[in-house]
Amino acid sequence: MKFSGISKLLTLVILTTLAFTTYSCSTSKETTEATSNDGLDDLSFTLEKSGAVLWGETCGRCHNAPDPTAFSDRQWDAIGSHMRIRAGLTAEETEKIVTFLQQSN
Amino acid sequence: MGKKLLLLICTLLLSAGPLLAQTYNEEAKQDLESLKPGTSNFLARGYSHAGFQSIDGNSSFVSGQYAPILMWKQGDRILFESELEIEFEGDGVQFALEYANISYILNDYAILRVGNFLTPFGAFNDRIHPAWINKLPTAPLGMGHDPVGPTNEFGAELRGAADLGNSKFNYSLYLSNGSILSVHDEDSTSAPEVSLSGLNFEDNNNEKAIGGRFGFLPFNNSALELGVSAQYTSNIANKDFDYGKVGMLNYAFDLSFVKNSIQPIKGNIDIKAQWNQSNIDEFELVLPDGDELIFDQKSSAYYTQIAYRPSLSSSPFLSKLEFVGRYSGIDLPEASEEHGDEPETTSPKVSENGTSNSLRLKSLFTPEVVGGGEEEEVHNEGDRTQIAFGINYWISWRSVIKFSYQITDNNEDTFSGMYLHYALGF
Ligand code: HEC
Repeated sequence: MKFSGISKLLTLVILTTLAFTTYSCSTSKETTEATSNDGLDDLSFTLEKSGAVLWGETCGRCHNAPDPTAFSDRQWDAIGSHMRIRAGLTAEETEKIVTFLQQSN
Repeated sequence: MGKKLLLLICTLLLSAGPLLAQTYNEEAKQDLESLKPGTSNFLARGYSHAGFQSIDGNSSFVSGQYAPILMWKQGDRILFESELEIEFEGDGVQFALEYANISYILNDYAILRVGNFLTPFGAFNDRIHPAWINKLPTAPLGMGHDPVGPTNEFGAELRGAADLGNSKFNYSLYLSNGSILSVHDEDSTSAPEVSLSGLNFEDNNNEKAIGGRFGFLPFNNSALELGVSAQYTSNIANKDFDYGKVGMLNYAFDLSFVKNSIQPIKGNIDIKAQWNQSNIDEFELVLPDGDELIFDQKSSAYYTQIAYRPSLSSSPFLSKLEFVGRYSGIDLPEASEEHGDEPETTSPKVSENGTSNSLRLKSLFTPEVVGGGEEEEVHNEGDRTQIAFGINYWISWRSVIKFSYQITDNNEDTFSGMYLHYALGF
């Protein structure tokens, strides 16, 4: 009894997610084509993502993405390490985001 | 002439020493400088929430909690993080150290963390529980003050993240003291109290818990994250527990999908879901009068939440609103069928003939252990489901007014709750 409810729930979640990911993938592909006309493949495009783009995509996954002006350079440095550790971010994306935040505050 | 030359060379050599030392000193000084408390990055942050709520007809103003967070980054590799949680509870104020740990960044892919940390079990516990992050004033059933699964560890952890082509993953692997199973009044004829606690700062046995979480972000825009977590302990009972070892296996699955500024729907979508399962080995206690108590603890909790914020709306007011819906549930061990003469349904049942008998206990995790400090509406035992709706008004990225209405169903009755909370991260 309980399980049928739960599996319905899970199916619903999975379907909704799939619908949105299909959508989001198609949009990110478009961006790839638009920006990587110099023969870069998807992988190098990932590596080329700017700090600003990464900030938009990454820092809003758990809470709203903080405004660059919210903290000073020193504070961004500490927050960057805190989030890298707590939120499981890669060293590279953290560094790029922190540089972007420090340049835009 | 030769004498003069010799003297000159000697003078040069003698002065070169201090000069060299000075250059060396400058470097060392710079290194040291970055380690001084004034030059390392100290950050005092935190969050709080307050509001008004009406639960099942009883209304009250509440000042939830004040949670100061202190962080200290020393040099490039060391980060200390700690959180205190100060809350009004009962007649007084409860003061708890939610976590305190030290991280050492080993390289780009690995960080060593030691101390007391929030368990990376699912995502709600260590990533979503703060009042300014959680989109509803209450925690989902079984994930807040009444959790299924661990919430805090005393141990050592290796964690990190890396790219995997277009995808990314993050991981955590830890060894910790694990939970403690305590049995009180074991020698009286009355039913013993059994409780489970995560506050195991001096391990009660030599068996350590091993656990971890693996998170996978398949798309290069990081919108989707799927997580699997597990924790296993071969014994949570005391070393001298008469009835042998009691093992525990917890596992969880979590999902997060967040996409901001989607043009066709003029806004942001945020979907979260999680499933926690906790299984404790069956064990039995023999009372002095010969009766046996059999404990069989298998519990689960789950939730799914969807939020929409019309962030791209041309109306500044609408763009700050967010609509949230959440469905959550908790399944605790069922009471056995024939408990007619047992007046207290929350105490374990005595099985006369010693046959396997599923028992209903109080929730095994004590409230003190839990992160979050966000009250759940109903604290009684048994299976429950809950549906919650909320409308949030975001004043800034970390300050929000939350209004919500929720209905909890325990299969016999329904309880409703209405909340108006203000949450602030600072
Ligand atoms: C996986 C979830 C997650 C992601 C992704 C994330 N954060 Fe956080 N963030 C948190 C949590 C959880 C806290 C609260 C920490 C606490 O209260 O213990 C937090 C707190 C913060 C704070 C408050 C100060 C602090 O350090 O506690 C800032 C500022 C912040 N995050 C910025 C960012 C930025 C910038 C990014 C992107 C690089 C980011 N966050 C990405 C989960 C996340």
